Amino acid sequence: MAPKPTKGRRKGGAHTRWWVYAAGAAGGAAVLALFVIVSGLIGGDTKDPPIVVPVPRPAGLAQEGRVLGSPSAPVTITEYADFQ
Amino acid sequence: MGVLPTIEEEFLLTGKAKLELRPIAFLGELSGLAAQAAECANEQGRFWRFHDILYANQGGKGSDAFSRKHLQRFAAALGLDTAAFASCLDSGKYASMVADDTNAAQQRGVDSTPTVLVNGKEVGGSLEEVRAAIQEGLPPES
Repeated sequence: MAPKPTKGRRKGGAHTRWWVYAAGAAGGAAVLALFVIVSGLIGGDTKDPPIVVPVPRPAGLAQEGRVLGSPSAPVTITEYADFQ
Repeated sequence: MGVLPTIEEEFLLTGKAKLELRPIAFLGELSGLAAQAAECANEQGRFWRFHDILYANQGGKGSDAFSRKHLQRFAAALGLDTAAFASCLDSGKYASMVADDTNAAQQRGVDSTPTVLVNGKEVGGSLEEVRAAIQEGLPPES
């Protein structure tokens, strides 16, 4: 006849499940870390920052080379600019 | 760049003023390369689109945001002929032009950017100062 389960045994079972969950979580974290490291090693292009592409100017605004606006406009604004 | 959208709306779109940009290179080698790239984009009629994408993706002094690789990415993002663009940039055909413009600006007393002139007269860079100078330069009937 099998011995009656005791409180102690039930506690032992919960204890075992805790370790199973912990081991599973650790394994998952290890796999995730490995994925991140490998992605970083083989995915060089993914390090490039995303490019922001501004919306185009209104079609009615004349653009001729470095000049923006109507060539016959009475006022000329000159801007010296360093792109960086 | 901060005042440009307002100036565009108030004065460029209304035909009261035009803006001429003179790219110069004060901040190092990549400044010069970016200015050359804008001229290469100009060959394909995209000077201002390239101007805008440069400003939208600035990395500041010392960054590699305007390295040859990234300039090429910008050209691709704008749909330029990337082979022609690369050939232009690699040729360095605009290097002396940018250097000459930079030297000419320095001789004129430009020692920081952006420096803004209205009808040839230097004005402060704030919106109010630029706006006042433009309004002063407009003919009376405008």
